[in-house]
Amino acid sequence: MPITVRIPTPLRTLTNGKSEVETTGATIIEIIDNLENNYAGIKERICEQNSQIRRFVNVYLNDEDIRFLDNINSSVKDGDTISIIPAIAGGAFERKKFYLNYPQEVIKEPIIYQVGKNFNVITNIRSASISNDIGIIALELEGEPAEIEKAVKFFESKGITVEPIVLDVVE
Amino acid sequence: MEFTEEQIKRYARHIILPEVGGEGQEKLLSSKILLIGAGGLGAPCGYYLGAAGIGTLGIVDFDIVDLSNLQRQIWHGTKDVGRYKVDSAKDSIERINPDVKVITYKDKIDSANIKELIKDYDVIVDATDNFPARYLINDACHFMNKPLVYGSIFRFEGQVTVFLPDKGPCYRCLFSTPPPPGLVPSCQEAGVLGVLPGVIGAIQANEAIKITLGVGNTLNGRLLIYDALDMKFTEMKLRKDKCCPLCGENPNILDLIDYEEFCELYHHE
Repeated sequence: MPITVRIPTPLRTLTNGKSEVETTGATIIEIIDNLENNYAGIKERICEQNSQIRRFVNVYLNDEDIRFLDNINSSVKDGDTISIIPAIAGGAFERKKFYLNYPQEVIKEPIIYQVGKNFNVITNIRSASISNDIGIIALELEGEPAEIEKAVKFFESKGITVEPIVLDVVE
Repeated sequence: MEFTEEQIKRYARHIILPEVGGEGQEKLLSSKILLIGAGGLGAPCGYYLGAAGIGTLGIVDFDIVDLSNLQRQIWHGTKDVGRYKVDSAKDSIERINPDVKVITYKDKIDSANIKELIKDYDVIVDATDNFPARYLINDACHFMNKPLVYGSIFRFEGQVTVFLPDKGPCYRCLFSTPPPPGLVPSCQEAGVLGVLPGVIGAIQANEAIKITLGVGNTLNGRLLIYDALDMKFTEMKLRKDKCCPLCGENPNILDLIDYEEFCELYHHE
């Protein structure tokens, strides 16, 4: 009888959407290695490079946390269920729109590119009016609220005024 | 406390329960619960707490209602778009139950204000949506010895538990540090089924009410996981970790970690 591994939502992109997969192995680490053979990339989401479980992920053997058993060397028997429980923060990613008003001296700088590169946000220009002396851009930012806030601060540090668009003018 | 005629009628279905009774309803009416986050989890949770007659309900949120919130944040209406979430939430609760004193805080929580925010409340509900806030609330509740009702959601999956300082594990016993951003789900994977926070937020209200009444068994020591897609509830044991950096035998977190600094810390980890 194989061992069932419950896959949490964030890792289901690696298991073709499957919420449970079956595998074999005598210990937790063997099971994780076998999972990696079938679903490449899953191990690095669960383990550090030294194979220890990441601190923001917990692995359960049935209903017991393996940290309180023999950790990754805990022995597993047929019919057991392994659950992978990652920390989740909740909420949805935010999507916010802003009007960016560029001062003339920075109009030619690739600032939106820098924001996309430096912060964990998706940038999406919804409308723009740019000439030699005017730069107004309606920009949508998607990401965690804290990252969006940092991106806004970065724009402001470049002398750009940032105004939230409350009503959906560029939907 | 003397109930009015209206209150006896309003709370009749509570008062008739032996586990609640008149005494329990009095406890609810004199209790103070702080709800941090007026969004997807906060809305159902706050609605039920308000309807139950929680005497003082504090609501903390600095954000403004956006049209994209309404799919799940059911105490805001279309006309509330552009208003502060806490103002819209206060109106909703007052429409249901005038007994509830709603106190709103348009603050972003940080290490400077969190202790002041929670100090007068009996139970704290974490209905936030980001890791820095969750660690800050957990740590503050530990230092101030406040019961914390934790709920969290992602796409189709929810986690809910209760942390009772000195009586069980804390959030850091479960996850000692927050994940770096590269390893949390990417934006393509974002989104949340609207009903999911409804289920989790309602469970949070249930736990907050039970803690207030002192009845039943709370989720203290148990992590309840809800999978809305497979329609499964799973329960995991939560144990106090003696190596916990906050509540373990040799803690190294001795004070609140500043919100911004903490953000930087985990973004560069």
